[in-house]
Amino acid sequence: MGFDFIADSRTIINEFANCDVFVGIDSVRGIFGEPSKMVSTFDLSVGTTAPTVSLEMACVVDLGIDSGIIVSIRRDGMSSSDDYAVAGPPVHDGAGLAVVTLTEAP
Amino acid sequence: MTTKRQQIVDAIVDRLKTIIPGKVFTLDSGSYTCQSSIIDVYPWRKTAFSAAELPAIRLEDADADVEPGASGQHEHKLHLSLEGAVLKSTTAAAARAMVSDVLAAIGSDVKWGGLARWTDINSHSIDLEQAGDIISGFQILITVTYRTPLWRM
Repeated sequence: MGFDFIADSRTIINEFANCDVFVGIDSVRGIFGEPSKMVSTFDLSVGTTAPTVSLEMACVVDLGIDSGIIVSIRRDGMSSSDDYAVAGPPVHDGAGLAVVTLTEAP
Repeated sequence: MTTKRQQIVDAIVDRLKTIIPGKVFTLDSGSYTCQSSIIDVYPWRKTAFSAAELPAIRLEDADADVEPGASGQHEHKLHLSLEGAVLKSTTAAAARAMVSDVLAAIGSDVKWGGLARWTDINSHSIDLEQAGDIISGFQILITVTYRTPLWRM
């Protein structure tokens, strides 16, 4: 029995999605995470976050999500959305999902 | 007994804490109005800052060169590093403004109320880091020259 990456990744998104990701008026479901991260300037360290959103790879391609694109993320249960800039090229996990690293929108 | 070195560091911390938007420093070149605000100044803080604590400055007075001074005194050249960070600045402009404000604060009295003979700026640098937040930082290196009786600091 082989893997069906498209079906499997869709199952994962359907099961664990916790946000809507908007590019313009188009939107897809995604899995948003915001782990903490430490950044340093000179010898001064600041605690911040390193937000990511995982999407189906096909959606990333369809929506043209790539470095510098502004996406709006509305987390489930929230009435408003937050804008983020895509910090780098989406990273394919090899199984149909892409992890998109986000940063503060300019 | 409080050393002159401690008094100078205290004076620097107190001066930097006065930086708020609209604060005016008098320099030889004329008056200077600050643009930045600083929540607090932390000598030798090693722990990480939270976003809520910024803008902040940390200060280290690690090294001093000592030479014989006039009239049986020691002359100390105390090297200080002032590092700061600002949150949610979309460009490095906020860091540049803070550097400018800190330099004006220092320049308003380079003798620190008579504790020192002079203060020199050695360098100023800025940096920008981006994760979930954009954080711009700066570093200013200064040297404060002061004299003490022999074998005192």
